[in-house]
Amino acid sequence: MTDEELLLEIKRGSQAALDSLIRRHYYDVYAFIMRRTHDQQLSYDLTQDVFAKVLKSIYQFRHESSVQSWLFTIAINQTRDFYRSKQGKTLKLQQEFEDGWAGTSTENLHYLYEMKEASVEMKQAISQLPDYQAEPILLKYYHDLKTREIAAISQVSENTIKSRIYQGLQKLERILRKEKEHESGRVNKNGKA
Amino acid sequence: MNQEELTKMEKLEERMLPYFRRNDIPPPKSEEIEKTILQLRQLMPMTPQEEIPIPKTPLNGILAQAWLELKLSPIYLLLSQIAFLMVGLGFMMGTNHYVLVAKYIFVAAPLIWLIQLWLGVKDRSGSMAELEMTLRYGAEQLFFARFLMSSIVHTGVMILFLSITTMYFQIGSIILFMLWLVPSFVIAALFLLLSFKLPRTWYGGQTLMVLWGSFSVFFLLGFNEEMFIKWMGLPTLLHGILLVGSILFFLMAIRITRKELSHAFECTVTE
Repeated sequence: MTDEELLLEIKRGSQAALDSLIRRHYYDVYAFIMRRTHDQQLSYDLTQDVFAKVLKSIYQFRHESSVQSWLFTIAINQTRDFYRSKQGKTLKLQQEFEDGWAGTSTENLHYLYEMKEASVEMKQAISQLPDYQAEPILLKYYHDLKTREIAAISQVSENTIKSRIYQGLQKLERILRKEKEHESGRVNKNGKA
Repeated sequence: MNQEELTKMEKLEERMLPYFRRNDIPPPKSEEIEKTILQLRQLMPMTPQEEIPIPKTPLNGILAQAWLELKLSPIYLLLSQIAFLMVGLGFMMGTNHYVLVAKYIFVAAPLIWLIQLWLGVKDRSGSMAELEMTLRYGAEQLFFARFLMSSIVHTGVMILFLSITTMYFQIGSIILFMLWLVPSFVIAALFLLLSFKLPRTWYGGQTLMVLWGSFSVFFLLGFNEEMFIKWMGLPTLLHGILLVGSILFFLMAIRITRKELSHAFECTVTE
């Protein structure tokens, strides 16, 4: 059954179709939100909100894009809305503080080793990008969306998306290189000491 | 982006891909997915907020439904047809009179068709057509499936009877066809129009059958018998014009019936 057929069945009141749609797309939506928020419980809550919005706006969906793109559009808006809220702003500040604290208190080699984990580096690097660069990068490299689809989700031209991805990747590379140099510098310093 | 930038971007992507591969998110807990499903089931819309277009039933769907209607239809349908055929044949053999058989066709054939039409719409008085609307076929589709089925059966029986009559009396069959079709179309059209224009409690089918029976008996057996003979003797062209007129009248009645069927459904919903 295609996504479109599932939506039609949901409109007709089929709970089985709703179950299938959620199971089919849960990971994609959850992983996207998780990469944006880095908070597991919050990601579960926001993912649930995304599917609730799908149900709420199911009659407004005009099938001009794929269901997956539509879900990502809702996920992006949901995440942005969350960070605009008071709770979201507090969480962002807390995360920045924790990241900063983690960066300055890595004097011991064990923690430094942990921090070398590439996923943590990447996570931190992506979180330093502005939304308009981070979102297309996540959609392209983690969810395999085409530039055309990302452009439709972001409601800008394909060229703009390409430029944003290019600039975002350049920035990511600079951040990662800087972190690497910083870490190797600290390791050398500790080694000498 | 120009070609140079695209090449640079491809190289940059190659360098960055290993980093992206390391940032995998572990799969979500299954209990969280179940929780979401349970929560959202409660948000499922109970009634559609927007009318979902009902896909048009293809012709074979209507025919299949017509066949089902034939299998499920009350015994009146087959009994009335068999009775018509047997009585007609008995009448023909017994009287051996061509005009009497013609009169029999004129009186009985529309009545037999009326029974079919009445069976097709009688459920409307019990709101059954509206209930059926919620199932696979709409009220309109069901009505026309019944109508199609009864018309096919009736036409088959009539063609058989008229062929036997024609062979028995060794005469042309055109006039006999006209005696069957013209009054049948007019009576059927009147029935359709009246059954949807008058209150639901009105027993349209039965009343019209009685009216037609009375009228035809008066027309045929009363002092107007000569008029019937004259009508039979009209030129074929005039018979053709009458037939076309009656068909157009019938088609108009069908169009009005279709509108009324959907209106009846809307009224039931609003009530």
